[in-house]
Amino acid sequence: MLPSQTFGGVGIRWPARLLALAAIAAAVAILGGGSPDTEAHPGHPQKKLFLGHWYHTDVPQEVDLTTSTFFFGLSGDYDGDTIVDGCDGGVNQTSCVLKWQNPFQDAINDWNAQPMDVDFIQTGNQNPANDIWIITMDEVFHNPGILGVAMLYNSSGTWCGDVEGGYDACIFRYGDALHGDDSHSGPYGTAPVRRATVLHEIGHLINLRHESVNPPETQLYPCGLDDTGPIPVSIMSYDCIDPPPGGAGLSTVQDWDTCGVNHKYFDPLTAFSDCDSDVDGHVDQLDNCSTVPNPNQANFDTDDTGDACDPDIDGDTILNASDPEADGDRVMNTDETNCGSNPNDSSQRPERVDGVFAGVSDDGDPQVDEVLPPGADDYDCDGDGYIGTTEAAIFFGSGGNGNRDPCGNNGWPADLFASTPGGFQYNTLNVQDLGSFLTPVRHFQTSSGEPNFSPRWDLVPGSSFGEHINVQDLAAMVAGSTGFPAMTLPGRAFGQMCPWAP
Amino acid sequence: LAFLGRFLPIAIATAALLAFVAGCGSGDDSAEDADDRRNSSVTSDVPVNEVPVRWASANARDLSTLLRSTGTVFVGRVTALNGQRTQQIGRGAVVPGNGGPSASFPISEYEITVVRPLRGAPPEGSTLPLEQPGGLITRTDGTPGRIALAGDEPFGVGKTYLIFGSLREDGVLTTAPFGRFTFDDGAASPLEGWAHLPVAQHLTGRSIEDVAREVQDAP
Repeated sequence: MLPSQTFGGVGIRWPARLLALAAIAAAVAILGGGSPDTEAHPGHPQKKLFLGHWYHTDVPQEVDLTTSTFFFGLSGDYDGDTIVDGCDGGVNQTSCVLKWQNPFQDAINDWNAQPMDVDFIQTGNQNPANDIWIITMDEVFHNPGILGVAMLYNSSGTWCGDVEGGYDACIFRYGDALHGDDSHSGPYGTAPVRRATVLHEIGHLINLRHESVNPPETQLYPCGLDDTGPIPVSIMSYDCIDPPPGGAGLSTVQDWDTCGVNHKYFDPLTAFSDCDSDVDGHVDQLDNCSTVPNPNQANFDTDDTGDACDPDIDGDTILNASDPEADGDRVMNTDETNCGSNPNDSSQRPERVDGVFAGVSDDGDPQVDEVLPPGADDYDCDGDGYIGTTEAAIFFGSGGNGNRDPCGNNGWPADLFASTPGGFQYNTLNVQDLGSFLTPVRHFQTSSGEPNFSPRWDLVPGSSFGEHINVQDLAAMVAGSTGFPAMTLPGRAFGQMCPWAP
Repeated sequence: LAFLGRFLPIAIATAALLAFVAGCGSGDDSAEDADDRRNSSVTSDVPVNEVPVRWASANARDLSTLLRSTGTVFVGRVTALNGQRTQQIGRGAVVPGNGGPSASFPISEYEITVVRPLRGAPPEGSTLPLEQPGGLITRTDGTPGRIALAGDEPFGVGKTYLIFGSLREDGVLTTAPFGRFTFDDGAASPLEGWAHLPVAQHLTGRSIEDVAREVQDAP
């Protein structure tokens, strides 16, 4: 077995095969010239972030990134140029610490709150040779015009600026975010701006380039624009994070920063992404609809597109907008809408209480087997061809569940002949059900008050077409009282078995 | 041969740097064009590795803010690139001896002569040392490269600039790209990429006299 090595201050294990993969990727990067992967949209389909070269894994998992204690309590001339470095140049370090402590912590918390597979943690077990360091100096490069700079290093500890292709080709493993304290004065002298600077520089350390720029960064654009047109706002855009009135004053990470960036540093493993753009628990590569949250991944017609994104959910070649029953669950759109369900999600239907639908939520809300919403009695909520008021009359006093149960003799009005489960013609509409109007008891041509009358056979309650039980009821048995037995779409009910177990 | 193969790229890079330095020392007007050609030929042939920087560009939201955040304003001509030094930056520099790495970041060292002091600047004819982060490097593969901060561009030796800068306590001048304008055709022009800033929009196209009046009248 090949050895593994420890990464970072918390001892993340990096199997040797991953190192081999990284080496191959590095070779590919070098041979390929290390061109930056930019300009991914229109439509922002890139969906790419948090694949920083230093925390690649072969399976999606949580990865901890340790952060240093942020260094601003130190002072001294670290670079030998006779100018004191460190927070506030050592003049008033206490004040400097107070200024930066909360913005730093807020920035870390903000990144950690994003839907990503990495976390920044702070432990006392940092490895000074790795990890993320956040350093506040008096001035970066002793230049008060610089708010911050990001320094990236490869696995050998070589600064990426020194390698061929620079940051765009470097397989970086860790980095430093440096901030200038003295630069954060005037318009930049507020806590939200300091937080924005930390967020921005950490963004560089996790693979992000500047946004609202053209790829070579020779042109800056206003917040929400770049050389390709409108883009979402970003913490990586100068204009978005600059304080008003010139900038938008943004000081929080945006959704687009985690799932849809336009500009990022080169990533040899860019084909692998674990970004969950719509935050529904399914990474984009495995999400059958990555733009609309659909945690159940419902896909009625089993094509490549989940119901939530499918213009023809049931695959009947009639687009949803024109399809009276769009999602294939055999409940009409109008009925679903009025019975508390989503007509465009085949996994959701109005609440049912029969068979496998009992004891679970069928309509996507947290409630289980709840009563249908007010007004639902005027609609066919269970898709058996009979509206709620009709079913209430038919099953009155029988204990049936009416509009929440479309199958079986106790829920499907048309299934008049009672047989035992698994038995002959059980839960099927056929000639025996038709015959039950006449035999063994003749219900046909009877009215309320007569000995053989039963509301169970009065499928069109209140009919004045001769006796209460008449030819109109016979017709309704086949076609449904609504004239459209949705449960047998696109055919008729006769000869069909209710598709849902009672 | 192996020895040559190993050190030849380093020698080439060193020679390029020396040629660059030697060719940029003249402040003579007649040498201006030649200096520019040498400068551009060296810099354009060398691949650039950009380092991401967040500039304090909101300081250029108006002239008063820019003046307050800089303090030294003048029109000057860059007369020489004297060389470059390296500054250690990163965790290894902040906490020496901790085992962490740091970068030897090149800092280019120029000389600039004051043509017209506008505010907080030394008298006309004074020469100031001017530093700009970035410069030539020899990359790990032995080839030459140039480090530049994103959004910045090297000073052109022989060129005249309007500078909104800061004088450090050691007397060295620093400036940011949003606080720098060229005067190539007698009118102020912002650096590429910074024309959208309010101060740039305000000063673009102005003559030196106009700019001088604006700066002197600003609160």
